[in-house]
Amino acid sequence: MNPRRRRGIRGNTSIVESVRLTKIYGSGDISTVALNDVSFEIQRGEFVLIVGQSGSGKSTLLHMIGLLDKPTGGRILIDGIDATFLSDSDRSEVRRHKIGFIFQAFNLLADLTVVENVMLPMMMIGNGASSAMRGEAELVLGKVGLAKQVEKQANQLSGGQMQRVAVARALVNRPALVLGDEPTGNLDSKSSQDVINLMKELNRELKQTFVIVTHAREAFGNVDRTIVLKDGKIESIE
Amino acid sequence: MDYRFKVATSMLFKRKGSMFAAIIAVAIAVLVIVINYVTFDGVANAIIRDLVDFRFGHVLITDRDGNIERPDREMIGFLENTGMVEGATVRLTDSASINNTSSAVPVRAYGIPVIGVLPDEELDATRIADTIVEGTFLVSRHSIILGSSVAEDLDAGIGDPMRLKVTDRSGNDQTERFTVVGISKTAGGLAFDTSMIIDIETLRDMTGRDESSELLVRLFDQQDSGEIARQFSARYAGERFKVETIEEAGESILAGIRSGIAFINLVGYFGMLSSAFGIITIMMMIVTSKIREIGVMRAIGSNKADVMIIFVIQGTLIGAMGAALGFILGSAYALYAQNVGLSFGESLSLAVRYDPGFVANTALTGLVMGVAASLYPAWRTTKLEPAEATRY
Ligand SMILES: Nc1ncnc2c1ncn2[C@@H]1O[C@H](COP(=O)(O)OP(=O)(O)OP(=O)(O)O)[C@@H](O)[C@H]1O
Ligand SMILES: [Mg+2]
Repeated sequence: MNPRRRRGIRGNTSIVESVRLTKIYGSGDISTVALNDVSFEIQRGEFVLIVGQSGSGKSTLLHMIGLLDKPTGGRILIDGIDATFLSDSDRSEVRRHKIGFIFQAFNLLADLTVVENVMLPMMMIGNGASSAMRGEAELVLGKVGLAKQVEKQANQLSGGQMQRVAVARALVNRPALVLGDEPTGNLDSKSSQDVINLMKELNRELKQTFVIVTHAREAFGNVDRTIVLKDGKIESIE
Repeated sequence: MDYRFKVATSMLFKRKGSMFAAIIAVAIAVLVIVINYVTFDGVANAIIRDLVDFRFGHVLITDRDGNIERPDREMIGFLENTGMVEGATVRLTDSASINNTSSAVPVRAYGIPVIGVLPDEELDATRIADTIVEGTFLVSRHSIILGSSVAEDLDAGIGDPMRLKVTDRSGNDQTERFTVVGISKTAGGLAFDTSMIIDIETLRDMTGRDESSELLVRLFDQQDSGEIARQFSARYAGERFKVETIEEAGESILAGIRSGIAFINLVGYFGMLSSAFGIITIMMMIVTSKIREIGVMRAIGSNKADVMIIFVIQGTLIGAMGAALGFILGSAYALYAQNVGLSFGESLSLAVRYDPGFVANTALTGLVMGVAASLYPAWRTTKLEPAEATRY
């Protein structure tokens, strides 16, 4: 199945739809119910936070939304596409075209330069000349304030700079959905605020959907919605 | 550029130490096989060369019923008239006792092969003259050339008087006196080191056998040996001649060498196997250190096959560079061995032919090995769950 084909037909569906999602790790006595009957929808252009105590299932939920892991029960739909029965390579293709990821740390490929890291999602889709990709990547790096670092080796940056490169890379293909798992968790408050402002600005400008897991919801100020998880269940949606 | 190639080359070239170790492992595996091959092929060729030069010629003719009774001149004349023959000669071989009569206490040796030769034809048809390390070739009907081992046993030197005793066709002992004119010796000892050489007519007179044991033919071009064999067989269709080319005549001697080559090649390929394990280890190290980054690539949109390809590309690059280096080193060794005329100490000097095709094939095997060695590490990446890999 070609995930791109569905976009036009179902343009008005939710970008994320979670239906009675359950995830159980392990089996028998040592099994952990990480997600328990979780249902919600996220609309296009929303800025959504996922919060909850440690172990409440935030990362697990984000991995389900990002199609990095398969649920034990229930369904997840991305842009109207039901991922339940997609093959590994179809799921990869959905990620490539529709999703950008920012992790808490170690997002970059250390052997590539900064600009190559940002070009990677474009190279994976592979349309356009490499010079055009480079230009685009440099533009986005300029937006995150790294115009001067483009040719540096990825592992020569500071933590805050690395996270900004990760943001640039997550955004460069203009994916409909940007997922972040504590993207500012390893940053000092100044860098953290820079990254948050950047994400919110891009959300406003480009109408991309952001779903961000965080322990510091205050830092984000006003967002569209906040999903509060507790013991693998939705405690509230605010 | 394909991003998989980009990522693969970046990963590999950032680990120069590991990369060079892996490349050298491939190159050495190739080199070892080439050295084995060049050496043993050189030994086999050297043996063939010496057999041609000293013992069989390019074509060896014997009689199935014993000795050849045809007149020498007739057969040699026929062969030389073909225009393909550089020289042809007959030999008569017997066994003799020899007695060095120069010393007060005579020194004797028994059961020594004695080869009767036609002196003039022998010099055209064989390289016997090259084996004379001391003295000269036969100068008269009563001169004798001793193999170096025989001379040593007899404590004999040039000019020493000898008494040779053979048994004639009626079973009686016949004795003649000879003077040592030359000592014959070759590296490897394949020629006449353990025998004696005299004029064939003297030996015929002594034994009363007007015959030859064999007819040796030396060609201008070895390629003609089949043709000469055919023509000779046709000419003497009525006789019981056995006509063999050097490949046929030397087969039993070479069979041992050939199985030696096969065995040593096997050893070489085991060496290649151990190089393959080296590459697997190095690549597993890279995979293990890249678990997190593999997860990131998967999250960005690579599928399992893409990630596998990234590692197979690395194996291919290692294999290709190792193969190239192996080809250069292997060719350098083979050319050196060919031009310098490699020999080991006192023994046979090797006849090496540089065979670029063989070196290229071996290098290709090295390349295939590099690719094959990357398959397991590459396959292991498919067992990584991206969700696990990207957990902090
Ligand atoms: N691979 C796994 N195998 C077994 N249990 C797991 C696995 N991954 C997560 N869990 C368990 O699932 C539950 C939810 O984990 P998850 O990582 O989603 O929590 P979280 O909300 O992201 O926590 P934190 O804020 O500490 O990152 C926890 O009890 C955790 O121990
Ligand atoms: Mg977490």
